[in-house]
Amino acid sequence: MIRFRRVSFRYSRTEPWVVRAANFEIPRGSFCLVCGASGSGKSTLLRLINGLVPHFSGGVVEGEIEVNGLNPIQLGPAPMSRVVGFVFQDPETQFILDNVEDEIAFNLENAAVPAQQITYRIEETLRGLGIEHLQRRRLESLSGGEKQKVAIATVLSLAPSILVFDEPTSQLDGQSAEEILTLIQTLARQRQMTIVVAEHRLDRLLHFADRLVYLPACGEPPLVGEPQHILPHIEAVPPVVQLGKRLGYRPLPLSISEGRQMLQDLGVDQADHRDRLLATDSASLPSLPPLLSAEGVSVRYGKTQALSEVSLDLFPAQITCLMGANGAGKTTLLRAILGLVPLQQGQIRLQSEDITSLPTWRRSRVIGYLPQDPNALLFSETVLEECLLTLRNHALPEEQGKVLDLLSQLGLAELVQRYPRELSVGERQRVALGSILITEPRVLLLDEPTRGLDERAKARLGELLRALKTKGMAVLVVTHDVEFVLNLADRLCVLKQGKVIADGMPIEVLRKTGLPPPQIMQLFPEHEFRNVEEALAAIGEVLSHMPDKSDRRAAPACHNGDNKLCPRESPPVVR
Amino acid sequence: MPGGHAPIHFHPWVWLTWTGSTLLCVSLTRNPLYLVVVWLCVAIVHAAGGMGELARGSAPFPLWLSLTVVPLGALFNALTVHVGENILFVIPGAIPLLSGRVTWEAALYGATNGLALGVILLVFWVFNRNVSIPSFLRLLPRAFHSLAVVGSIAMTFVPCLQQQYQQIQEAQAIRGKQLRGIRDQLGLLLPLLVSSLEHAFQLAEVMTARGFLASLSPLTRSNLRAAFLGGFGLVLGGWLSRFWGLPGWIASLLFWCALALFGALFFLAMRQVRYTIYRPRRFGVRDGLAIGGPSLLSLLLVLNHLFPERGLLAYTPYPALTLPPFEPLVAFLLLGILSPFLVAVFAGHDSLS
Repeated sequence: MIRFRRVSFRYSRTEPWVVRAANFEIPRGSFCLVCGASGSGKSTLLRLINGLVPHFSGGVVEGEIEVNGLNPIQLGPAPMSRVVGFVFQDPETQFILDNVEDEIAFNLENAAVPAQQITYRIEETLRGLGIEHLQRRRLESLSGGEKQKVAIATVLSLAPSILVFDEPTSQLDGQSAEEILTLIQTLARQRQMTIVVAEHRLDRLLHFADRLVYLPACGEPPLVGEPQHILPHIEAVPPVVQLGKRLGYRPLPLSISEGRQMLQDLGVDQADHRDRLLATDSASLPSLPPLLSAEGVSVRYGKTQALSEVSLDLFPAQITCLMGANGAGKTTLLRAILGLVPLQQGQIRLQSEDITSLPTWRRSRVIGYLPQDPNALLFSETVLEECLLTLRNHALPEEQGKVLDLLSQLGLAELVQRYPRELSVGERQRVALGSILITEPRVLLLDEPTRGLDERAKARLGELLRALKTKGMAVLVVTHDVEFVLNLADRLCVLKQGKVIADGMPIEVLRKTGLPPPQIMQLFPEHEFRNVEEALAAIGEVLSHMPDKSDRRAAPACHNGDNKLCPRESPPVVR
Repeated sequence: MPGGHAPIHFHPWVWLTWTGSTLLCVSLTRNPLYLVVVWLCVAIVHAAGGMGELARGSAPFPLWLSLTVVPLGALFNALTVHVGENILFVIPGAIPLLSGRVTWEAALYGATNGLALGVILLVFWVFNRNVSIPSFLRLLPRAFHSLAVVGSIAMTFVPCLQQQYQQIQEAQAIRGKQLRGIRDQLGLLLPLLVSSLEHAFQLAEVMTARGFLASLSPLTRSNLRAAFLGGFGLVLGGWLSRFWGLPGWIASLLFWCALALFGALFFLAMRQVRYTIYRPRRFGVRDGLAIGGPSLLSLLLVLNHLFPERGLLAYTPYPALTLPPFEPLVAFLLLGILSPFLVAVFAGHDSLS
């Protein structure tokens, strides 16, 4: 049981509250999802559960926190580690040692578990997670999904009663994410563990959660309750929920099966829309010559063949998305195009010119590249200086007006004098994007640009990329986010084990390759809707005859000004 | 190594003793001949531990790095220390720090200091490669939580720094920066520092969240703090007693009391920390033999202490350049640094690990 009583936190007395008046309970055995925009205080809230905040960060806490009868504010994070297992966002930052066995033993050694028991506990934990074959492996040799499982194993070995995850699927492909989440849910059921997960990707998690903590904004009291009761208050929700909201259906569907049930209840699934196709799809593949071509590119890392004779053309005014499982070679392909990895064979051509031998710093003038972690590109004291630095590097005129125009287009006009690394994830990403777009490159490569972004930031990024496309830029986006792909891409390529296995219209490719389809495609498998708007537009006729469902409304939110816990039965939402 | 036996793994205590005694020797002598002997011995141990790296050409890097410090040290000292009788040339004018005589003596002393620094770098490089992070963590005195965390961060600092350096170089290239000379490399320092500090912070947070030294009770922590302050007070008292001209035995007594207090509380605190060691590494005969080398070095230090008038390790080129003394016995004892290499060779192994 986790209990927050009127808990507020800020990093110093002069700063605004990050968490304010948090007043809720998470019962034992719950699967609790914590959501909210970037910077709304999700990570801080999680760290309050094990005492990392304020013990590690400093800051001011008001109110009381009780975790399985213990007070993390008094005890601090080290003693709390026996009760609360904390899995950080990036598993690599969580690892201290160099192989799986030692990594798991580390926690057990510190907990003074008798040496004879450690072997047993390691084997049992690995078996429980189905990764016993990884026991002797070096951590650097593991895939993203395997690393995440090992990170879970490290905390699970101490048999904590609460597991806390900070964005556990942000770096995983759809299949690995589903696998990890199913595993977490199974553990929770088998061991009566309480699971608390902070995540932006509600589409991946909502159907697992039985409790939702929504942080509307930094310093605003969280809304807490069952998902059906909280979701009406959240603007950015997964397509299936959004459809339910727009159709006025209650209870809101959380999963595809519930979504199908909703359509069945409403009689929408019988509607005859099979002939409706999206004109944009068939018209989007251009007949222009390619702007950039990778021809028969092979890359090898030691014994691993990362790319095998990959050929890919990028066309002007086209957004191409590149998908594939973790370790398929997506990032390597981007790095090969930019010259950051040596080619075993193959060529990179920009229009007809062979640029294979050009160094990266020269290619970057015409090929912009945004790596996974935008922090890697930020060096300067101010946002403005960051863009000027790129111009200086390329010996281009340092036109401040041009930089300010670009920053304004990126929605950064108010932040030009701010220190880039202090900004939110989305803002940092836009600064990094600005620092590469300032040279007006003809090709833009983005590696997992939606990672860590909330829905609003993601939508803004989509708009920006569409604007760049209209200017004739060729855009290549590596992503695991199928919803983003379906809304944005003109074309989708799929890599598998270093080879291109599909290339074409997004919907066709998604159907053929067996990638986890977006929710809207799962709901309407025989149609070609890309988003809720298109689905709603197509089924408008049916909606007009929709029976009244007013008897199945959501319960009202509880806005108790005195900050007392709401009774669980009624009203079900706690603020 | 192809065709050879598997590398020999020594107990971490062997490397700790080896590192400690070698560093102590280096800190006690400025005799360039002995420092050359020490450098050669450490270089042999380094090369023996990295046969694979040698084949790939990466092992010479630390050797070159350690030697690069020598001319830099000579140049810096020659330009800033204007002492000595053998004048190379004179920097005219009144440039602060620089103007004056540039002498052979200052250059030699600077080169010797550079060599000592180079040996220290190389010793740490060898230690870092031969002691794995888990082994190192087990060597740390766990009664001192902060020290243990800082030690762990230090241990992972070099590999992390290499990784960060590569990432930043790439990021600079992505931003159109061509890295040509030292000035461009200097531009990497600040981002490197920022990202390294971020990494250190993350690692410390992770270690805490994963229960590193969770068994140390708050009472033990406050006792340790009190003991430290008490010991520090005794040392301060001893120093003040000398300052005020009190009899020497009072200061000695206070210093010894401080030492005893530190030792006793360290022992008690270590006993209170509860942790286990998974698959502890046994101390074998080969480890015992390998630790014999550092023992030879200890003998040298004892001799140096017992016979200060002999000045076994002492040398200074000032005021006029003289040939450094060279005692065969000292050189022989310094060869103790080779002990891990010699044990590996006699045990039929080609390399260390």
